Amino acid sequence: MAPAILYLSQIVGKPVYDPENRPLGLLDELVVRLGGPFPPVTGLAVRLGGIGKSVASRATFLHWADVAAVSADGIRLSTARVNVAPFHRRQGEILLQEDLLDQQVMDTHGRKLVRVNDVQLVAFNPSGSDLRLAGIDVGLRGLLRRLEAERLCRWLTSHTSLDIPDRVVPWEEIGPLAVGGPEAEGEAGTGPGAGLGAGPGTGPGAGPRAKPGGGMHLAHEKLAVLHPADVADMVAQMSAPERVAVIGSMDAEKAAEALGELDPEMSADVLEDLPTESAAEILAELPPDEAADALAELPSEKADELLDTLDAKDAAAVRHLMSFDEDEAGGMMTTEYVALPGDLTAQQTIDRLRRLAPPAEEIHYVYVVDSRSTLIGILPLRDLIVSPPDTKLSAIVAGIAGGAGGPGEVVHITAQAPKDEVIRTIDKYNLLALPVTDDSGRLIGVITVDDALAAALPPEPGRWLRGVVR
Amino acid sequence: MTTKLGTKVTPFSTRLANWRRSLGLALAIIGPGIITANADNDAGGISTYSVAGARYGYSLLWMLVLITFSLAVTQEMGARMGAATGKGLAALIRERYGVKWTFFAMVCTLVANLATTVAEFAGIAAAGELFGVPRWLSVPLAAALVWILVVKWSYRSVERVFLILSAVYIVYPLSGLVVGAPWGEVFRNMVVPSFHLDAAYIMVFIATVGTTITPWGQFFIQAYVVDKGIGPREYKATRVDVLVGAFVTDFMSFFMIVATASTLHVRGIQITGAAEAAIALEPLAGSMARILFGIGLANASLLGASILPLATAYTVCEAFGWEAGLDRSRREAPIFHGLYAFAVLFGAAVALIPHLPLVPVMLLSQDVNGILLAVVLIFAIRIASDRRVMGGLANGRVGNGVAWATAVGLIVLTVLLLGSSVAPLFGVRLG
Repeated sequence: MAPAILYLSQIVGKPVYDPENRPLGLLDELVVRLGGPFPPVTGLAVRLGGIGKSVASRATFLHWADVAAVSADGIRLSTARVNVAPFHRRQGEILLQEDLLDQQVMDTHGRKLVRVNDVQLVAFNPSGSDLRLAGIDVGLRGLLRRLEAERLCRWLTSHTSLDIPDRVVPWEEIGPLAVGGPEAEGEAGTGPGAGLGAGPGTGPGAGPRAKPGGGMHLAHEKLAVLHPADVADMVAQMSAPERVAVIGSMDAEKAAEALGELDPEMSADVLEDLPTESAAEILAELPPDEAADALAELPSEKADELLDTLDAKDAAAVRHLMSFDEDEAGGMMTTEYVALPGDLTAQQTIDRLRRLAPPAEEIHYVYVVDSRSTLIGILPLRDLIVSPPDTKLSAIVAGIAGGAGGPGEVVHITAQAPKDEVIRTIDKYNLLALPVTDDSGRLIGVITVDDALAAALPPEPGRWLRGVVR
Repeated sequence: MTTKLGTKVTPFSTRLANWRRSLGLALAIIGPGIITANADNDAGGISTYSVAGARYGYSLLWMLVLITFSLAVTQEMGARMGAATGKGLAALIRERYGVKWTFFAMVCTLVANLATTVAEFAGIAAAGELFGVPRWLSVPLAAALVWILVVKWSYRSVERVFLILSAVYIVYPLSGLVVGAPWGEVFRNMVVPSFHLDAAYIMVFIATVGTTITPWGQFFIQAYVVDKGIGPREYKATRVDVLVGAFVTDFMSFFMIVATASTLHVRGIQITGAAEAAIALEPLAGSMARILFGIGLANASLLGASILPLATAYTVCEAFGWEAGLDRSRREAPIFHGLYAFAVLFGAAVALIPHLPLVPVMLLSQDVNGILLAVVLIFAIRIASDRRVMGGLANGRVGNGVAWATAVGLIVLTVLLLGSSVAPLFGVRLG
């Protein structure tokens, strides 16, 4: 027998029977223990005898082990003994009605946020007692089912050429969920009378923020294989607490990559709301220029607190970058580049690079400097590789137009140059990276073409009116 | 071009950029509150306040004073919800109340917004007719203009142009001052309430509430705050902006009523079209009154016609989880684009109906807003009072009281309106 498909909306509110088929109450909620592509249902909440409207306090939670059979007509228990102990959500469990239904989740396959219209469950055995979470219904059909217009759907599909298909995203494609909501944090407010009267003056963290650490469930590792830019796109559309929860759930390296794609104001907010340890871990993975951009948006005490978690050398680099205006060359540059003395030979340089193994985007050029770090030449990787092994770097760059010369003659820009000039210079000389020098001609950073491109584009549009408001 | 070392001359481009930055900063201070509030004085607003002043003189001013507090409280609540949750009102309704209630709320919002969109195009038709432009020409032109401006230009620029043009409203306070309103009587009417159990009166009453506080304004302010990335920490400044916005709007509304009351009501002139409404500006502008009024009305209508179809499409898509955004293609976001086009076309089509009485239509649309506002407000109040959603930023007692009083007041008024319209049919005289 093929596994039977059931939708959450088809069984919630249906009667729950005892072994003698006497109705006990109505099904109110299902608990699922996360893990694997088909996480099992492990519990249910029953509203006993339909007493009271206040579901949260009246519902009784039962173990799924007590369930004998499930169908669209209701649930039959295998025991009449009901334990009325209060329910505590355990780590790794979600409530389908409260945490999932109608919420926004990440569809990692479609790479967008979707709203949960219904939850698809699959029964792995004929009685239906081995019930598992299979997917999220995000289609029009799910919406109509919730509006109890299923019959209209069937009529439309059978009597007209209209087709209203189910659109179900498999559970394994769904990104991490922020679960638990802001309840706990809410108590940190000023008590009744906050709001209009007391205003928002309850200090940082007064608003609902995801509980640090807890309240987050990583459904699987799908997010890790997405391109950071796609993760950032989705994350940017979330509310702040969800954003913090999702970023906080990723490993530091992936989180840093995604954060680097967000606009600095937003990544600053995320860093500020994360627990200091996680923020510090992510910060350590951020390239210095992106770290500086984000930290510059934070209040100075918070920025200092985070900077102190970095090792002294990195912190100094970030502080130096933060001293520049974001609209000038110094504010756009990164301090990660390869600079080597001119008396090295091509072979020595290649050996050195192999040992340093710098990330790809920083290795398009080797910058040739003298003992005082004065920029004396730009050496494209191609020219390095095709040169005879024993040629000195200073000799190779001497043969490149605009790539060598005395101080000030190599193509470069000073740290105070405005953004527009940076963009024009990169465009004019067709560069992948533009060296930045201080007033005395010493190399202090490089601006990569992707950062210049980002600066040249119009500002990132907002969410609701997208490009409308911001 | 290699930058020379040590040169300290600031290039012209930098100075220009700096200058533009400070102008941008000045415009950025005009925040969500002031913009939403300003857009509130749209075609429906101008005509409703004018009719209120012409028909009932200063007698509705006490209500405008109360409504100003309601507007401040409800707008503040919407902005606070956006700051606390980072989500729009439609999303919050969906997450707290599920699909069925969301469907109900969206039907109400859709009806109210479409009615307002009709009013905006009716406003354009009325303004056009002041200049002798027939509506079959002005309305399609306006629809095309709105579409081109919003889709091809950027909404931000559109908004700024209209905001600058809305400085034309200043003629109302000036006109009120020039005509020399009987200030003693004005102040008395601001503090002494009066009421009549008469259907026509209650209709103007509800319309005045419904044009000041609108369902779309509730969604808009919250979305704007979310979109600007304003969180609990940045909320303080926004709160001031929102409260100032509410009082600035009603300052203008107040003078619209005073100016029409002291020019039209005293002479017993009823407003049947834009031409009569323009008389309110005659003490100040003389023969230019028509032109000034026409510009003001056209500007207000175009701003409204740019915002409402967009706001409607965004709100509905947010509630049901459909892709939305002008940066999404028609294939990526078919429902969003469909709703947007439908709202524009519907508004324009209704306004094109030959011999449609424009002023009554604008007034009626604000009644629809006022009646349906109660629904949206109740959702908003209940969510904003929920500490599980709002945390420490949940509603306080005073705000809750004012907001509930507004919602309940609107329901009572709606019942009274129904009663007073139906009662005469059975030979019963109320009041």
